[in-house]
Amino acid sequence: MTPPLLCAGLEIALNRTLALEPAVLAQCQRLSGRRIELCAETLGWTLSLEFHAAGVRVLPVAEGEPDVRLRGSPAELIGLGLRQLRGEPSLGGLRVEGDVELLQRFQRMLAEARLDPEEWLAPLIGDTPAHRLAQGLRGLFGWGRQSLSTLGLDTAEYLREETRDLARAADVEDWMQAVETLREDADRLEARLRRLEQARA
Amino acid sequence: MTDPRPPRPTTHFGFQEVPVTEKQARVRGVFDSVASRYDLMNDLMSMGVHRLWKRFVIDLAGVRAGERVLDVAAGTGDLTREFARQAGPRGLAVLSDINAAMLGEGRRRLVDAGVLGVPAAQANAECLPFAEASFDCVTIGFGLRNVTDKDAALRSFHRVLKPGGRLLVLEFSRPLNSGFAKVYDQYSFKLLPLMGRLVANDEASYRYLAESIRMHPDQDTLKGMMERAGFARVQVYNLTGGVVAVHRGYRLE
Repeated sequence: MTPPLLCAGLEIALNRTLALEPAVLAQCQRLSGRRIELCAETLGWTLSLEFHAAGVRVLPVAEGEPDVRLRGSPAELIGLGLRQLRGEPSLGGLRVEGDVELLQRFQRMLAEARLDPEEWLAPLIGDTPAHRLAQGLRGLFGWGRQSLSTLGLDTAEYLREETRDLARAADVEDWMQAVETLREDADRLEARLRRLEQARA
Repeated sequence: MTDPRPPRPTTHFGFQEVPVTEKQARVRGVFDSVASRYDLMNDLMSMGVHRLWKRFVIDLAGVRAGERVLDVAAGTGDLTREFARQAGPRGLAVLSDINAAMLGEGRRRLVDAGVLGVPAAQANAECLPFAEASFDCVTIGFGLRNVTDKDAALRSFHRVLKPGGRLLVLEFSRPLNSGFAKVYDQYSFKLLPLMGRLVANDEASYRYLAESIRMHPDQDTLKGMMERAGFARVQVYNLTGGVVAVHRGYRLE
């Protein structure tokens, strides 16, 4: 059974997001009672998302048939969550059964409710300063991301080329090819030995 | 010669069987005794983790601005304080407890925390003095095990909830792992009364608290009781290996 605390965590996160935008909560009320089911196939876990006036409730057990069901591996479901965070509506390799429109609507609601710093800052400091501050913050975070990425690349290169703690991609490929050749040779030797044993018998 | 009068109904008070009419007074005695050191007691019993358990209940309750919340057996008002902030000026959070000493302590703490305008009601959970369908959310934290007639209390919670409203019960429960349960038993029955004696000079009250936890219905039994009281979508969330469980159910009709 799906861990109830996982459901609770997802529910709390979704409801905090949806509550950022009153218009989105009003949509939740209109969708009251409709359900989206997420099935992580290899784990056998089910997450049932049901709309109500205050957002969604997420339960590990489903009562009756959902309006729409998404099936996929846990990695595919996590991928869906990450893409949603980046604002990409793609469903990846997930299989959808049922009302696709409900799913797309929920994705749009999550996108609408995403935190907009400009909107939050404007009532406090005014429209223009809010826009400039938000741009500044974006620039700062962008610079931070770029710096982190460069630092990551430099560190990886140092560990590969200088200390030799990490293997280079080409070396790993050569090694994997060598393992594959050895495995094939061992298979051939085993087959030859079997034939020789049969000939002796 | 046999006594022709029917036997008086009894209930448990810790591990003792006492007449139903006596339990309320005895529980009152315990809480009158511990009210001024209630937070210390909670910290001792849970080793401080009760703050995280309460945080989980607050997050799971998801109270929104404008909602009406009733906190039953509110104790020192830890939950009420957050609910009052979340409900905001358009909403309402009510601090409720059957015990006058605890209620007074709760009101004092709320004022100290700068949370004003929270109504306080001395009320019995079994027959709440509120109109039908008057709250969006009802919570009871570490209080249900002290209620004499738990089924009546659950029916009462159901009655005061609006359709779509939710009940959250935070209560000590049964550890899920038998090895851990043995360690927990030793802690509850040996260490806890000893700490009660050393820290609060009140061993009997702390022994009652440990015993009352053992007599409280386990996770599945309480879930069944909530469903029989009319709650739907009842879900159990075990915390700290089942030492504590949060039960959440909805009044749908």
